[in-house]
Amino acid sequence: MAGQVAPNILIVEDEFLIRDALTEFLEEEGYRVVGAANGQEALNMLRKGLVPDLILLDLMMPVMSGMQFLDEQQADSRLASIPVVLLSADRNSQEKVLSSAPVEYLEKPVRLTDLLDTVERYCQ
Amino acid sequence: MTSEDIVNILLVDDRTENLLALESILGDLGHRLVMAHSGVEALKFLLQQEFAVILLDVQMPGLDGFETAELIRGRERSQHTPIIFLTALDRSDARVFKGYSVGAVDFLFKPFMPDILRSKVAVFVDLFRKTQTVQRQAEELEQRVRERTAELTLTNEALYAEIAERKRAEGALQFLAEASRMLSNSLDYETTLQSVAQLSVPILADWCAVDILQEDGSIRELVAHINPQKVEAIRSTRFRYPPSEDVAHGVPHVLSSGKAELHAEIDDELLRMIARDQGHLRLLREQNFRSYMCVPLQAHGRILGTVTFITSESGRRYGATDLRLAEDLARRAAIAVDNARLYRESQEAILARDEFLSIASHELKTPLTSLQLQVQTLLRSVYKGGQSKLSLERIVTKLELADQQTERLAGLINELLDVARIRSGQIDMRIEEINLSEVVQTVAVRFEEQLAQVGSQLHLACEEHTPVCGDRLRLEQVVTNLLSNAIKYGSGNPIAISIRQTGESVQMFVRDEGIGIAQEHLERIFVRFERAVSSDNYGGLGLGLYIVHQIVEALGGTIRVSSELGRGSTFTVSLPRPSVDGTLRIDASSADAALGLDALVRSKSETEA
Repeated sequence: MAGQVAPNILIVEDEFLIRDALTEFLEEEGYRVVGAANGQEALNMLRKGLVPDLILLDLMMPVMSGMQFLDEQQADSRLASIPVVLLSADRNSQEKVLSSAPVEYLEKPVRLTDLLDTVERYCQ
Repeated sequence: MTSEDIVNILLVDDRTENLLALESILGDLGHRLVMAHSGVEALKFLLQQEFAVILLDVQMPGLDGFETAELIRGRERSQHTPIIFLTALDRSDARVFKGYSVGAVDFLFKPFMPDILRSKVAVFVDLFRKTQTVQRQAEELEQRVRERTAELTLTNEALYAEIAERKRAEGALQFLAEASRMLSNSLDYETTLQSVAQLSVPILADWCAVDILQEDGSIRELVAHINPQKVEAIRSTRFRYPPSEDVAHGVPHVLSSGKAELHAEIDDELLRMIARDQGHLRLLREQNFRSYMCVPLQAHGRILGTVTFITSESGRRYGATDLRLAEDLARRAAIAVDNARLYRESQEAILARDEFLSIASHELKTPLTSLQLQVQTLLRSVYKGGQSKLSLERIVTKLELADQQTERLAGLINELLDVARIRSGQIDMRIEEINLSEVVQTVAVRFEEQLAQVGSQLHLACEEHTPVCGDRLRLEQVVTNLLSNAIKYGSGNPIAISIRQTGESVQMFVRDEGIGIAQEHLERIFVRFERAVSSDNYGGLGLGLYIVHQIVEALGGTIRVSSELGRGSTFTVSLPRPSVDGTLRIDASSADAALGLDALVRSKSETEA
């Protein structure tokens, strides 16, 4: 990616250890990463002008869940076009989300190679 | 000649010798001869008895023969009795004509020819007898017709009754069929019961009230009235004078006894008995009640409520058949209500289970994901060989993190296994005398770091000697779960644990000043899979309090909670002091009682009992 501006990824995840490990890994792979601890934090960042190339979104979070975040994001025309990949442990909830929003999902625990493949696909 | 053949013959002549002469001529015929010496005397005899024929002298002082004949004819009883005039006068046409005109059937001229006299009288006697026979036959016939008519009337009445009964039975069947259809329409029990009330009016009652026993013991009622405007009036009356529990009649009595009540006739005496005061009596009288039935709503041996049927405007009077119909309807309604309740509870149980599965996935996979990420980044670093960018310090950190996640996972798995063990009654406990205060101190030390993280201070106020019967590890688990809940929901405010001895038991209070629990959730928090707040905001499997409850109960103790939303919660555990030792197993049946999945088939009140 020499000569290019590194793609920007927003990780929305309440569990600090997971957010931290994912950030470290993706930064090593040459991405710029911004973390948010819940949907509300992420939404605030986006509305302040953050324009990520991809959002990695956990579902079960305090304050604002991934589901609520998606509703807000999809309803906001400036944000709706940002691609979202769900990163969640609960298959049932994932299915519910997938039926209502055009997003891809990765199931936790996730293999880093799978994550990297997916991220690269969105950030070419 | 039989006595039936003997008839009466009236002989009328003012002269005794003439009467004797007639007697001697007619004596041979064997009939009863009655002799009168004047018209007046003849009329007197005619009043007393019936005669086959009258022999009447024309020439008599006072009433003569013709005048007497006219009077005889004038009387209903004797108007058709044949009269033979006896006369010594000439046979002039005028006299005879007069005789016939007053009703003579024949004339005999003195002196008589005995044979002719006898044969003439015999002819009239014979005629009289035949007339009598015909009359008797006619009477008999009439009597038989009357009897037959009466028989037919009875048969007719029976037939009408039978038709009415069949119509009623058909109506009842139709009514019940319609009721069943309506009852199966909805799985919402309130809708179901409202439709029972609506359906009963006006087919079975002028007004109908359904009283439902609520889970908290209060009574909820649904009313339908033939005149919808009256519904509110009845509601307000029943609100002002709610059914009293200490009386041997009405809704509370049917609820407690399970037996139906029927008052075919509501009289003033009954109203006076029911009325609480003069105002109530006046309101009751205004309703103009006629007849009353109250039947229990009963399904699977449980009384769910009552249905009351009352007539007023229609004036209809209830009987045993109506009561049977009402009971049948109530049975069907109760089953429908019970089905609705079971459906609702099964839906709730399924929701609780689904929610639990979501939470369990999240709770188990979060540490697993974290663990896996540490391991994978380490592996990547190793694969890159000498180019590893990880310092030894980083590697140690990652391994420590992985270790912590393993611990966390093990803890969660133990929690799940505990529930499974409780479920199958397989928790073995080593019961010994344990100082609860020591247990609390041991656990408190383990939480020092976590308390510091959230900024909560822990205040301990424990008496030194607080011996209880218990299993050390399980008691640690109880304290651990209660304390970690207090930290989790304590909003960083101070937490207090105090222990004191009271009589036969030792009491432990765990108090936080955090978010508290809403009243409507208090009953549920000890049930498996239940939590008072959203899992989105607070992690955990939601099994902690369930496990605490089960352990405390298995040790013969109790746990209670008091809480105020936004002000914090206090859990009070009461454990018996030592008396016996040995092994104590958790009683499977009492452990079962709180299991969420069992709620699929149990009523809510049973599961919470």
